[in-house]
Amino acid sequence: MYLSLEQSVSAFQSVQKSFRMARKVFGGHVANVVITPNDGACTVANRYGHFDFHPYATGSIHSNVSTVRAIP
Amino acid sequence: MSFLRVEGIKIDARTLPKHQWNADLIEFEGPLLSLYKGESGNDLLYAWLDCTATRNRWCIVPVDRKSLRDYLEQQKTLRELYLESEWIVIFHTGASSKRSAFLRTSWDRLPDAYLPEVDSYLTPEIATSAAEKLAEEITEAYFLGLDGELYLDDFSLVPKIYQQLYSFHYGLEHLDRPAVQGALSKLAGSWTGGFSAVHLFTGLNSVTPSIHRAKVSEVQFASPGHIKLDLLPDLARRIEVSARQIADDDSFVALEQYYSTVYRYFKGNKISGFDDERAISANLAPEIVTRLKEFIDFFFGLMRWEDYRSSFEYLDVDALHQLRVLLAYYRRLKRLRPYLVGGNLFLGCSRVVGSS
Repeated sequence: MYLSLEQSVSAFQSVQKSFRMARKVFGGHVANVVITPNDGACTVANRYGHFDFHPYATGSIHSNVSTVRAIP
Repeated sequence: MSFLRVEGIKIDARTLPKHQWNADLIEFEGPLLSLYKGESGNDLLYAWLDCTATRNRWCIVPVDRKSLRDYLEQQKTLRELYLESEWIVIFHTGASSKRSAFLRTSWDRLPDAYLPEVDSYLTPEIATSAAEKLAEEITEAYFLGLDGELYLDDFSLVPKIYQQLYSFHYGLEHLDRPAVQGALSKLAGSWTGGFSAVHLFTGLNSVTPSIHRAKVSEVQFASPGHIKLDLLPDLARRIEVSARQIADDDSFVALEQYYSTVYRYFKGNKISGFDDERAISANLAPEIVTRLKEFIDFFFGLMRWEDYRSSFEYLDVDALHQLRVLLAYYRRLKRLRPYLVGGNLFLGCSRVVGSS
């Protein structure tokens, strides 16, 4: 996961340059998700905005998805 | 959903040499590009290519030291590594991660969709921290100066011992690398059923990526002469510290007395010999373990290695095996003494071209 749309799209596009079939496994869309402390635990983001999210079994972040857009 | 067609020759997996994982270089919800080491010390990249609903397709791309370095430093693209390769092997993994359907091919027979793009650099935003660390450490030219009368067996022994010492220090200074830690844990695990110190040196060499190995860049000898290496300078300095201790008469006498004392203690307490394979650590009395720890501390002092103490603690192996490892190192180091004191070997300088 990434802190911002721009960071997420930039990383994906960079990955896609090395692995051109990346969309087949990761899809071609990016979603905006609001994560609350009740949803799970997050690692500290690195300088490129990437962090890991470990959802709680009771969490349901799917209901927190607010925007889905295609990655250019 | 099926894979794109690739022309090539089917190969039996049993004919492939074993590859050992070294580091993941690109991760995106899982590793996409990983560095492996072959049995002969060569580097290989495992790159993700494609997937179906149930399988993933990967390829193995051989890469040489210079190209790997260039790729890590963003001087070369992944595409260029593909195009430089003499062969590429494709395989599939399923839910069990078991590899199957091996096919030997070449980059020019891959579908265009499998080739990375022309600007497929290892950018910081996709490079793992492991990739960054690999790139951070830069090798430098270093001389093993040679002089006097040397025979063929001397030319075999000196580099071999030097390489083993280098591997040892590489391991202790790179315990933060999962592959190094993993190799040591594996070795430590095997110690319960029997341990030979030799495994440590060979095991550590097998997790040193080519960009960090001591590479021969020049050999010349007409007395004097040298072996010019390309290696990590910090490790070379470590070996120099050890070499000074073994070459100095006073510290050598102290080390020899220490070695005899430890050996007598082993014998007196019916602890097996230094290279014995039997596992006896579990039965050692607490006072013996305490004494062994004192021996370890004393060795660090004699070798001027005080800052390695915490690394050894990190190994999480018992005192007896820690001591065995140190003594195995000492026995190897000692074999260099005749060359050091006899004026046959000079670390870090060549009498032909001066200091490195």
